[in-house]
Amino acid sequence: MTTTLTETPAGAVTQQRVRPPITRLGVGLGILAVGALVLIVVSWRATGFGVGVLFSGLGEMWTFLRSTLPPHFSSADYSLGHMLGDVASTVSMAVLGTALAMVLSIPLGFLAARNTTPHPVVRAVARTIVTACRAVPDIIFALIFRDALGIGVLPGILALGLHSIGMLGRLYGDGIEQAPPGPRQAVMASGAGRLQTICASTVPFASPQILSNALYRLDINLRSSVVLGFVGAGGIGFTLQAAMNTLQFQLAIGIVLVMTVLILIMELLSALLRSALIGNDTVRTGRRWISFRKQSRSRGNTMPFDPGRVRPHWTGARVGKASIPYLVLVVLGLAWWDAQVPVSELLSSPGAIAHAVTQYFPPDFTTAGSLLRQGMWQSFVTAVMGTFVGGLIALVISFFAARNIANSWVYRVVRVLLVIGRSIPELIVAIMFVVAVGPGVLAGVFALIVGTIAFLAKLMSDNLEEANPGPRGAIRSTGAGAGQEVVAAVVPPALPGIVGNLLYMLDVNFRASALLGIVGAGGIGFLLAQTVQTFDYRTTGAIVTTTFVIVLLIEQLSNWARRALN
Amino acid sequence: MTTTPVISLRHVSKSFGATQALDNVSLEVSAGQMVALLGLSGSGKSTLLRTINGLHRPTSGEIRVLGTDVAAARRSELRMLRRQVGFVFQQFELVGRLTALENVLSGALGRVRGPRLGTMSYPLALRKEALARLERVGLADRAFQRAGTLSGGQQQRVAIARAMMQQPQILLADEPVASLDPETSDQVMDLMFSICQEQNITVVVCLHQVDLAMKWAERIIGLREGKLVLDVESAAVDKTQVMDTYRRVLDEASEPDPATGGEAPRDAEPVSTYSSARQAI
Repeated sequence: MTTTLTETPAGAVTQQRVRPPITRLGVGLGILAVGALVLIVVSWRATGFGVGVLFSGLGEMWTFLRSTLPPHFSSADYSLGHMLGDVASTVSMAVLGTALAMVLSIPLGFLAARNTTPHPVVRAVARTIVTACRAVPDIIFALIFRDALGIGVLPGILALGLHSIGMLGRLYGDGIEQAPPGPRQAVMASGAGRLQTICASTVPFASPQILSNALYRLDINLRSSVVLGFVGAGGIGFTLQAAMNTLQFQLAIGIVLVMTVLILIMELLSALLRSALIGNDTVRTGRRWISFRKQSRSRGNTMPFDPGRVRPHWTGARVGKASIPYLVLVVLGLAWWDAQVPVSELLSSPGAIAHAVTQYFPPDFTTAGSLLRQGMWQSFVTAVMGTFVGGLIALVISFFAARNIANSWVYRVVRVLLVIGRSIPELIVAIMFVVAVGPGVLAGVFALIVGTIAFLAKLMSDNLEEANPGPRGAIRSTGAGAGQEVVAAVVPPALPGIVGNLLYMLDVNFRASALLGIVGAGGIGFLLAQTVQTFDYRTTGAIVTTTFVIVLLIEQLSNWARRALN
Repeated sequence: MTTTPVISLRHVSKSFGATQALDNVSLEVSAGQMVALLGLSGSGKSTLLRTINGLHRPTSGEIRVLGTDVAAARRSELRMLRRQVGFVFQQFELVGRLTALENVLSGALGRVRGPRLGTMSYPLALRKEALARLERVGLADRAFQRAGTLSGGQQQRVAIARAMMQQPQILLADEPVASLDPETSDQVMDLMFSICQEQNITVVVCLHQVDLAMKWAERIIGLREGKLVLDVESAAVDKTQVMDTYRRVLDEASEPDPATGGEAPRDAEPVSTYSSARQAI
């Protein structure tokens, strides 16, 4: 086809530039990209990352796996009933911890959202509390509460509850801020008061997200509750650690299998519940696990008109929705009964908790000295490598896990594989790699890569699925090919979300890599485990403080990058 | 002007499940003609447009567009066809995050190989051409502004530039001004039709407003419940006549007929002064 410009007056145009102008923002993003590249190269060298090591370690991994087979679900002094009891208390811990976090996060979310906060100062304070909860790893909270309240499920509940505020409070605040201003103005225009307006326009918009995100957090907390057991917060993790320490690998793998299945079931249940709550396309939560197709038909049209009836009809959907609160109450009640939370003890122990907290202050940065610096650096480069390599692989996979791009069977198979991948506790993956490639940062990198793929591929494919189909149709009608269509109309709107999730993952991975050291996967976790075991509280405090600062820095950076891209 | 039709439909029907969107529609459009499709929401206007560029395949009947048999065409043939047929949407359907220039450039995807991301991934010649097309719609100064930040009228002008980037022989427009205010509507319609006139592009545009149809199109086609009910040359009739016919269409569609149990009469004959007018020329 000839490219003639004669039909359009082009005289003035040829003088004008046809490359995008250089803006300060562009330069900033460029510097960030170059910085990221340098960081990746440095981390690559520091961790000595390579796939070769993995292959040479496959033999040892196999031997180790053989020693765990067949899995045992009980032992001489540990009956199946015992295990079921442990499983129940782990689930209770996760449920109660999530409930606690939700109760505390809802008010924080409304105070932290720009459109509902009473005052900017209140908003800043609320956001700081939320960020602080996120920056302190749940395992640290668990240690503090364990010291104050003793070994048991209660420290686990409190730890999960407080740490989860970090995520829930943030998501709630962001979700509330996304509420469209139009309906608010309309309600306000009708003369409603401030609180009335929020209840009538913002709450209905936010409530599906509030429930859906809490369910999502419940998934995460069930995983964490296993790990918390390692430091004495009760439940199945405690038993798992004991089994590992006494080299009962068959029992250990049995416990891991049970937990994996449990997490899988929980994930399917919460996905079902969430799709029942919000449907697939009505609300953007970006946190769908597996998607269930749900047909949204307009109901009520078919109901006979009855002038005397001023209540909604009891349709199947309404029965389902109305039963949810009762279901939640029953689950909470069961968890409460199972966990035997000693409320009186908790109420009488603020002194003990305060004392436990003060033990960590002032932090002691000098005793550990270079070990602290070295460990932090190791954890950081581990996180960078894990995020980078895992992110690359996840990006490729995400195209096969996006319903609007992949063939529907490919999509289903990949999604199911990702769910299974996410169900295996990260610490277990780390142990496997420690066996395969020996203790050190490399094992940590591999463990993080596996975890990153399973999480990020899901989040990224959700980003891709959120693309508006309108522009796609427009690009298709220009005669573009399928690949061109996806890159031109699906990738650009998904890009900020993808980069945001990548940075979010770096943040998550840094905190995770700070814990991987507990099982010998290098990094600050090793020192952390040591100081905890030797009751060197003030060095532990120094580690937590440094982690806190680095997490905050990563978060600031990722906030800036996300805003810049948007 | 040649009498070879660039678009020809013979007994075309299209149904989505139980819904009959197009019901035995036959019509021909010759090169360079400007046609307006009038009809209520759900009368099949959009389906007709999307059948012409192969986004929908007809359930039965025959469509030839620029010599391509749309019903039987293979995917690659359909793509070749779409490259020659521009499409303008009611909601503009620009990729909001990309700049105006890149959106225009995406109209040239059919001319380049492989996926493209970012303005600089397109050849310089195409970038210059895209800028010229933006200039033609009066938005060269907005080239590097994000499309999502432009006003509705500006976005539709960018969308027109994108369609022109395809160097189309036919332009299809689906309610191109329904989301715009009257003044902007006039500007956009003026721009669209004058560009198409300059380049002898055949235009088929769906409209709600009889006024606009009378003002810009040389031929007016009415659809109701997927059937062709009106086909007149706008010069041969005056405004009130079309308005009357259109109103009659409206009334018949909206008033339930007790004899047929709420359904509008199905035997309405097309008001076809157009074919007689053509024979007279």
